[in-house]
Amino acid sequence: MKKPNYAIIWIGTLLLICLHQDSWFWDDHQTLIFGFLPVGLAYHAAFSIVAAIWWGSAMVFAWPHDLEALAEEEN
Amino acid sequence: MTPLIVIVCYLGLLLALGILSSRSFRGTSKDYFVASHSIGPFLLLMSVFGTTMTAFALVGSTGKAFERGIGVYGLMASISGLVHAAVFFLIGIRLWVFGKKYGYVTQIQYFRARFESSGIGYLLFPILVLLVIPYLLIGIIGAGKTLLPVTAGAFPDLFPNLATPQWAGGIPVWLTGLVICGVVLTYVFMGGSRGAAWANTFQTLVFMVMGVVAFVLIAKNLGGLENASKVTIQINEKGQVVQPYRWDNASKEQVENNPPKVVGKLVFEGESPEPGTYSPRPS
Repeated sequence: MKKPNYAIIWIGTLLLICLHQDSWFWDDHQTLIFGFLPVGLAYHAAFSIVAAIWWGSAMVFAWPHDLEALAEEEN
Repeated sequence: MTPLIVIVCYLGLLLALGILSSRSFRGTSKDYFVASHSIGPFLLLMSVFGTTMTAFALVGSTGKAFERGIGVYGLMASISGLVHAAVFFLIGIRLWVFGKKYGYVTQIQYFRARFESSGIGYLLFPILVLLVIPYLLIGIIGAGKTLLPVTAGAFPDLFPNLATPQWAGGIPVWLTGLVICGVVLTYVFMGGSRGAAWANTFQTLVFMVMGVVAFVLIAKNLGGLENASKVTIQINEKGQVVQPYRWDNASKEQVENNPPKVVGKLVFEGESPEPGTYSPRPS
């Protein structure tokens, strides 16, 4: 059974942690996206979608079947 | 009185769910603590969401958004999307493997076996309990502090609330806390983790539906999404909380307040707040 590449998961997660440190839009109270959505709120809404896609992909492509098999093994 | 009736019905439904879930109880500790591993992905997702959505999030985020801006709501969603999933994927699956393989149900069982020490179990038990208490208390206090103003005027003779005359007649914080504790303990004791998962799922569905309803109604009454973003209050250079625009219901138009209407004032440390002002933490 092929072991998933956990290094990619960790690198992607660290990248997401960096992107979450929103010091670029947080204090912008004037810019509105689509005429109504404050840019700080829009950024985090978009980030949430990206995070959901990232973790969804991790479940599909890097699910730890090896660990699952370990759990099923007899002691 | 109407909000109180709605809340009583809501708590009644939670109790009914607890009683209903107790009928599925199989009489084992495994069933009580982990519902015999029968909680599927939908109930698990709803439970995690419902567990997070306590007063800590609902009341706390409202206050924080008032202080720091609407981006706080986005921040809550994005940090949950990042951290919850990361903990499940990177830590949770591994713990689940050990739990399933060796029959661990609680954290303490795992740590006792991992370090082959009963002492670590005795050490961890009070620490884990103590760490949970502040989080639980925030929920109880938050519920009490929300219900007091909401029910103000309902029972003026029973609860004069001399310390908070503006909310005379409202249900006091201690009584709300007592009722909430009673309801939660009942459905948890009766239904175990299955009862808690069912109750959390119900609450999450209510939160989601009512969240959408509140969003639509508030935006509509502020004159639509675009206007809603403009009529919100701002803090000017003098530290005054001002409303530069308002929505005129008669003409159905957004009207500029010239000069901007002052609705409050920032109160800094050492200053006495005047009635009608609020005191967010100065940044």
